[in-house]
Amino acid sequence: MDTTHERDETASTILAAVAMGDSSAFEQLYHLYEKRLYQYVFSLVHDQTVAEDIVGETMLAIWRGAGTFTGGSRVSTWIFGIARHKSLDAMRRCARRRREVELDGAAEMPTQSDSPLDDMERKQVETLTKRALAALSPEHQEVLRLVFYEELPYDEIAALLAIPANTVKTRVFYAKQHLKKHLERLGQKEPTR
Amino acid sequence: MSEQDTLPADVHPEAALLPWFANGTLPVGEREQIMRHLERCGDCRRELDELSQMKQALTEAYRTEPIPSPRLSRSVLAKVAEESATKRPVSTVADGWMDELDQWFRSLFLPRWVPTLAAMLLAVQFGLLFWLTNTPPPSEPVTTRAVAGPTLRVRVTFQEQATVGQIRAVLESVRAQILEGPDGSGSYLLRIPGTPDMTARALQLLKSRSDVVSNAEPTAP
Repeated sequence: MDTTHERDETASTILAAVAMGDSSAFEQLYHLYEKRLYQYVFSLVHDQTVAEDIVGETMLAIWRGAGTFTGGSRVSTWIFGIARHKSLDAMRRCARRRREVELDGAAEMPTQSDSPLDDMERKQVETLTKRALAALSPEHQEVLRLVFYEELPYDEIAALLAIPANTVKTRVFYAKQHLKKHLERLGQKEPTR
Repeated sequence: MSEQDTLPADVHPEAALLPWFANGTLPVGEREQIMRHLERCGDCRRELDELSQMKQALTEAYRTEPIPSPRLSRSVLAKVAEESATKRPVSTVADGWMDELDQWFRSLFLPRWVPTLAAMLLAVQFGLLFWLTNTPPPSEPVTTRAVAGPTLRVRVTFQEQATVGQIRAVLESVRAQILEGPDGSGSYLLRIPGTPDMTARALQLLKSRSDVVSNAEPTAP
């Protein structure tokens, strides 16, 4: 699997072609980001249909506005910024419904079960991690994803979340502390599961 | 959310940067600072180990999250194909008039005979220039004969739409002599007689005539 940094360099080149109206370049860009963008949006809105709508809208916004990308940030930051903005809009619109969603809903999400059956230990760690993540606040979940999965620099996360860089650093520090505590607690509670 | 904006007092400030040291996005200066710190700080080395393990576990967890239905990509790509077939995407509002100008300019080249005509005009221009350089009129200031004294050699390219009369007038105004050309790129080598001050002014004049001269650069003798 390529790294986020390599993917971003590729994305810059592809985005330039998209800005020129190249629909096949857009298709490439789409496949490069669809899954991660969907997972990020889902982690914010906790609704599959809403997440798909937002990803669709985001992708069309990228197609129509690729020329507005100034290169002042990574392509990932720009794309995730659009998706985040749309997610927050959708969350505001669906505030009432969202309140009904349980905080730990993510732990019960159906997962793609394509791992080998003999890899029980990895599966166990994965399950524990997901449950520990689900117990974190949405803000902590979000920064951990942006640092460790999207591999964004702290200044770009600050820009994306519209918070000071120092807040990003401390938020990640405490998110990691909380996740560690939850992992330890879950590990002690269900060591063999 | 009750989150402190500062780290606990017993935590090194460098620890706040370790997540980005682990994800490889720290600027060089901070990265070197962290590496120096890690050499002498066991606590931060342990913190980095934990972060690295956590990154791996999180990546596995995120990777197996649900994916969108195939319906989504079909719908988005169909919409883009539809828009692509009807028009180019509008990049910015500011680009609108540029696009219109671009479309208008391109439309000029739609008739098949336009490129042929442009090629013929170019050939005629080169023919006239060739004639001009080989048949100097009486008392012609533009001459192919050698000029005594200091000179400046200039490599010049003329605008494609410049007429022979315009080119001739410009060359006369600086008392230039065509030494050779046109070469493969359509440029000519000129010699301009005069003192360094005079030739510098001549070069300036050539450059200022952008309606006739597209490029003028001094070259070594």
